[in-house]
Amino acid sequence: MLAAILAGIKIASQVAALGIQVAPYLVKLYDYYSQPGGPTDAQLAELTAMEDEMDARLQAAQPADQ
Amino acid sequence: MRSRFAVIALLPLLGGCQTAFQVATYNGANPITPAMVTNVRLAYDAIEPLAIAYIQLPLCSAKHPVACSQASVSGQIKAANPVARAALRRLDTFVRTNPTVNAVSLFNEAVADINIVKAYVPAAASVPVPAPAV
Repeated sequence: MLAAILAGIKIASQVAALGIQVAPYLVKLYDYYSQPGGPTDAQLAELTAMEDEMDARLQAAQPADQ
Repeated sequence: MRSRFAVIALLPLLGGCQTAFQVATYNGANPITPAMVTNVRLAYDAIEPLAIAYIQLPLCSAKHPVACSQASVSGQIKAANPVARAALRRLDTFVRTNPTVNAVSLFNEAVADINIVKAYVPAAASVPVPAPAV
């Protein structure tokens, strides 16, 4: 369990260092799935839209200038 | 920012609590719980920004021998991303609409597809991906 916590801190640190605002998304994801009955349709649509945005960023990503 | 780190760090613990609760109320028909689906989505959503960062590194060359990306690897990541996302969504939809039907094969498919992306991203090596279910 300690290893998982340390891994979580390391991941969050790396993501924060990249300047990518993914942490609020992860918190929302967890909150929505933790509530009784899981996410509502509206919440699921919100999460899906955020994931779609991240997927689009990945597909559009290009190497930095040489 | 420290509080965000704390929240992320606590996610595995909270997930464990949720899993324990669901095991106690689980009817035994489906070994894949909603908490397991959440954990696998969290894993991929932690890997994806690291994949983006990798692609955005300068291409490997004599000028950039380290902290660089290879075009072929970036291409593999871009090809594997929609496959992993589709597998995650199939799993999520199935478990929400068929909570008592065994979803092990879909879960394992999602885990395998996520691990393909993870294998291409050096910085994602420490991201914990759930093990396949049996």
